[in-house]
Amino acid sequence: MDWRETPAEVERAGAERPVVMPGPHGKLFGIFTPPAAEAPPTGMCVVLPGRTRWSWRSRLSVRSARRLAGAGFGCLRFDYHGYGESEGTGLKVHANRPYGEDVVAAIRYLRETLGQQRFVLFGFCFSARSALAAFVEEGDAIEGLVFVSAPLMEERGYWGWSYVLRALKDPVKIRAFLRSRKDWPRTAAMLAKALGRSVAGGPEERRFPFSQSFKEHFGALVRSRARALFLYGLEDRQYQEFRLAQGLLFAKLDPETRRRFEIEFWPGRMHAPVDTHRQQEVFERAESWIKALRPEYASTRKSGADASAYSN
Amino acid sequence: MATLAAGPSIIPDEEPLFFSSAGRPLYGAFHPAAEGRPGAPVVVFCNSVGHDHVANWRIEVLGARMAAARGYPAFCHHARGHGDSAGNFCDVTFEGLVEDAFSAADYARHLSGASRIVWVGIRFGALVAAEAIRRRRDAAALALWEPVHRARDYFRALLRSILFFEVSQGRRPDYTVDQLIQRLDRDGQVDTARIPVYRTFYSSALDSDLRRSLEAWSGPTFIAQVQRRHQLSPDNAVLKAALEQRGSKVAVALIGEEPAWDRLPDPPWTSEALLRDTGEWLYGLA
Repeated sequence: MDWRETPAEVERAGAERPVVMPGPHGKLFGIFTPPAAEAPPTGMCVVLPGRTRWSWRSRLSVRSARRLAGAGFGCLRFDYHGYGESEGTGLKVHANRPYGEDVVAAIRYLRETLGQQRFVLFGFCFSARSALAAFVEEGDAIEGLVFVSAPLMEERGYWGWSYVLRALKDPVKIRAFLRSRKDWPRTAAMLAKALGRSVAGGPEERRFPFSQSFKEHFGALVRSRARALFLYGLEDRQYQEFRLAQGLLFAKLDPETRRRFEIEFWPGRMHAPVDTHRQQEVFERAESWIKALRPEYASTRKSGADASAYSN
Repeated sequence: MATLAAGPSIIPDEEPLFFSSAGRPLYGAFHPAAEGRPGAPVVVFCNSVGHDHVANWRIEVLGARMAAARGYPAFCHHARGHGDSAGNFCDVTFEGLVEDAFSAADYARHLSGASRIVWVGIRFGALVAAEAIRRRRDAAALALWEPVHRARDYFRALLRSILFFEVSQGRRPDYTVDQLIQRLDRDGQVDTARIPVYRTFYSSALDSDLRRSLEAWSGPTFIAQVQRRHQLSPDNAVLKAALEQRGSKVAVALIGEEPAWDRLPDPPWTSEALLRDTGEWLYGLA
């Protein structure tokens, strides 16, 4: 079922104002939802970048912005350059070439024009990578990051043997494979790569190269003082990549840095755009995590334990 | 929030704003005209619903900018329950969409000073624009971008997409479209890959028919067919003939593309041909 506005959300909708921000590729268009006056001020502004600033199917970013504003957060949702109303040329996006510069432009506009000082970023897949990219230039100003199910590797389609073996036991995947002849060459190539990696051996970092941009941006996150929540679905292709990052990158962090990062793995998929219920769960989890950044919640925050499969 | 009571505005540049419709704030964007066409009507866009609205939003924005560059003020809006507007999508009715189109048109006329309207109906928005024309007396012209001719057919296609999705996942659906309609009536909602279909919207819009809404219309009309066909579809051909029989001057553009209406295109779908042909048609209006 789609969401229904509460009176508080309607009230925040009435306070919203459009913004037009200077960006490196032309003007960026967005909507700023000011925090509710009756809510204790958090001093934080949540930024939700997107290819559609209202996150298409169920307008969940609209709902989240109004709900977080009701809890005392300013919120900005905006269109990337080349999308929606924003100027610039629309190009097919690639996770390893995120639009961090748009997020940085938004942060600077919020600071210079609307007096916002501390920021929380929330992104899904490509937007998660774009939010992470903003840490290079604005890491000092960012309090938190919600990073949902983004690819991390240099090349698309990393398959490990555990993924292959699970797929062989899944009749839905088998039937889909048998019906899609045009994908057989690509599938064969990915299987060959999986075999090649296991045969070639060598250090895992060499066999499974993370994208250069991810390593750079992750390093900026590590150097910042921001907290982060990483959310992946066990059935997402991207989950395999993140498991490698856990072992090769997260494991090398010093304990104090590691405590800033929470990781949750959920049953099923995050990448399920037609599953409105799952999308709502993701947004609600992001909202609850962001709300817990408020100073009065400091004593109750979870420290960077890796959650086992999240049970709904 | 700007209201009609705020008085006329002098806006030097494109302005995103909120305006009121039925007591709720709706998002809109006003594009003032470039110089050179005094007294031009204002172009008001009626976009489609649900996912279709998202898929066609970029080209609507570019269309409004193109119209403004051609000397026509233009106005876009998000209907209730869509985009940045207030309202619940599950409560949307066809009558509500028409009401919002009226509010958008009134506000656009107020901002621009124009006394007449060029309606641009995109996909399902064509039914809304046509109904607005039927009920108002200020239409100067009508453009239809890949119009939906009958809401009944549109809903059946949406529900059929569920069956196609099941097949694409390697599953054999054990229900028919008619059974999905029964489920919609019983449960109030059916989820498709594109939008959830609510009984409220379905029952309110089911009998909407483009030709019937336009049966008294004889103004200049532009039909842009966005399909991989080399000739007009039967529906578009019949509509064209009916309009011409009433004395309407009808221009046609065959845009030989077929965007994937059932998924969010990346990059967003735009069409230079559609924008160019629409611009030329606007330029040729008296």
